[in-house]
Amino acid sequence: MTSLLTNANLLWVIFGTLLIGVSAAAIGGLAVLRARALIGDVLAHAAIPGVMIGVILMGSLSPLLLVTFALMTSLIAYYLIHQLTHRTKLRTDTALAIILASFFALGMLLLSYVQAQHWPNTAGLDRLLFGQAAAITRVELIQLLLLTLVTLVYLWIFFPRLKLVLFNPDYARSLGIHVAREEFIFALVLVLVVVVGMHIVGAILMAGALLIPITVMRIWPLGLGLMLTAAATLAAIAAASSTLLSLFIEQSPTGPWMIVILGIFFILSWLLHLVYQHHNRSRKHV
Amino acid sequence: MNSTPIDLLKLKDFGVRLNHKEILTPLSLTLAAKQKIAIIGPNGAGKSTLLKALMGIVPSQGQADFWGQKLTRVQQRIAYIPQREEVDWNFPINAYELVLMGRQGQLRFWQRPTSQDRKLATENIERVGLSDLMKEPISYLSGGQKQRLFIARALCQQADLLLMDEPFAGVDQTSETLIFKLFDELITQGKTLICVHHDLARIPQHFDWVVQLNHGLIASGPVKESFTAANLAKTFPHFWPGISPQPEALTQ
Repeated sequence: MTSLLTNANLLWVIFGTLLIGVSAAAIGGLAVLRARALIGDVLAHAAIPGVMIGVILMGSLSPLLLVTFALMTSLIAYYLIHQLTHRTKLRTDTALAIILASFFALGMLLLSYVQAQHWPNTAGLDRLLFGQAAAITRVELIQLLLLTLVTLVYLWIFFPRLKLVLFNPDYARSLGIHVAREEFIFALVLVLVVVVGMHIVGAILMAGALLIPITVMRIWPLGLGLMLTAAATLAAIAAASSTLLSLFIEQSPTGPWMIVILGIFFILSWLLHLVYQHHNRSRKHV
Repeated sequence: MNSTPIDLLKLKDFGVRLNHKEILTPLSLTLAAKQKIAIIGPNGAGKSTLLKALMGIVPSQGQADFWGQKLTRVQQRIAYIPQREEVDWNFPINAYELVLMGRQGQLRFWQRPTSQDRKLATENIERVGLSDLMKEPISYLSGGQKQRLFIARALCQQADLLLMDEPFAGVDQTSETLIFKLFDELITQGKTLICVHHDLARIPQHFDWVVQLNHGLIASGPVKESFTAANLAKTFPHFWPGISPQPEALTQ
């Protein structure tokens, strides 16, 4: 264990997963509060065809290139969701389901095509589905660091305005705030987090990293700032532990470990809250 | 009511069409300042849509001038109070944070509320009688308290015109009395209140002017002249038969 912890590479990997945990929990937390819980899931699935198109067109797995292509298809998916919910009578959940299934299906078809070609340097593409932190490269780590900085600075600067836009968009419009622009910037940061994070957590489970940390804390009567900070801390702990577990237990990917740990946190938080409520009720009766 | 009425709001063929459907039939009217104005009409008449369109929340056609100017030039002089059901009251903020949101329109996106903004928020929470609940999560408040918070948030804007969408819906007697008292105070301070209202029995007692809508403008005028049995029958044609009180009783 000591030798593992003094291993510089391992520390970088833990640092990387920790960063994605914090960014995903913070931005995903706000998406949940805007009743957009599943949008992160859709965007992560929509990123897969983007990655595959990048591989087919450029023949390379360069992280920056893949992020660019993934970003494009995720943004197209976001635009389509917006159009479907605003220009048709479809409910938001239906629109999300349609876009998720269509983009994921396309991504799977393209993945099987790429794998069938046996091109050089395209091995390990399937780690996009479940994530593999151990395979993190130096470029990905720099991306993660930049992304976390962008996310946290964005949240810090826009926090009061975001709070208003998320809570009461019509009122924000009445104050002259450009709500559509604010929502687009928010979506852009969310898409960035999803696209970069899916290398570690995996596209399929990215939604868990975005949603579970805030729901663990949402049970408790906390203010928004404290709730997001606590959620990000929990996500960081889950991220670091999942990296260690995926290294100790061979062939186990990071993403599922991270979600399982977050799931355990959720159950513990829920049970503790039940005890807390019971305790409060008995005190009132006395 | 006012000796020298000022044209506060002038609408010319002002209407709303969404997805090829007419939501608010174009209407033209002029409203004077420093009055309590009620907008009444049956469900679906376009009352809430009118307020939203005036605030630029939904797209509109036609012309709307406030104090002779376009909305974008005077937006900070107008406060909008939405219906209570429009927000998620489980959102994790407290009463004070909600009221402080009223200052957000005055701030640039990177700016934080100043001590002056915070003082205004505190004063307005006290003004609606909720200073004891300042730190309470909004999910713990009653319907009437939530409505009073929305009013405090609008007051925080220090606006000259308040557009209110059913501020009395689901409020208890205490809150209703307090809100009507606050209305009178605001009028003495030179403010104007435009209020979508459902309780017709309160109109003669508490409002100066009434706008009646039902797929277009039925009437707009001083309560004493316009709130007549004939106009009410036109505004609510499917409502009156067999239902008490009858228009005549309400208008007396």
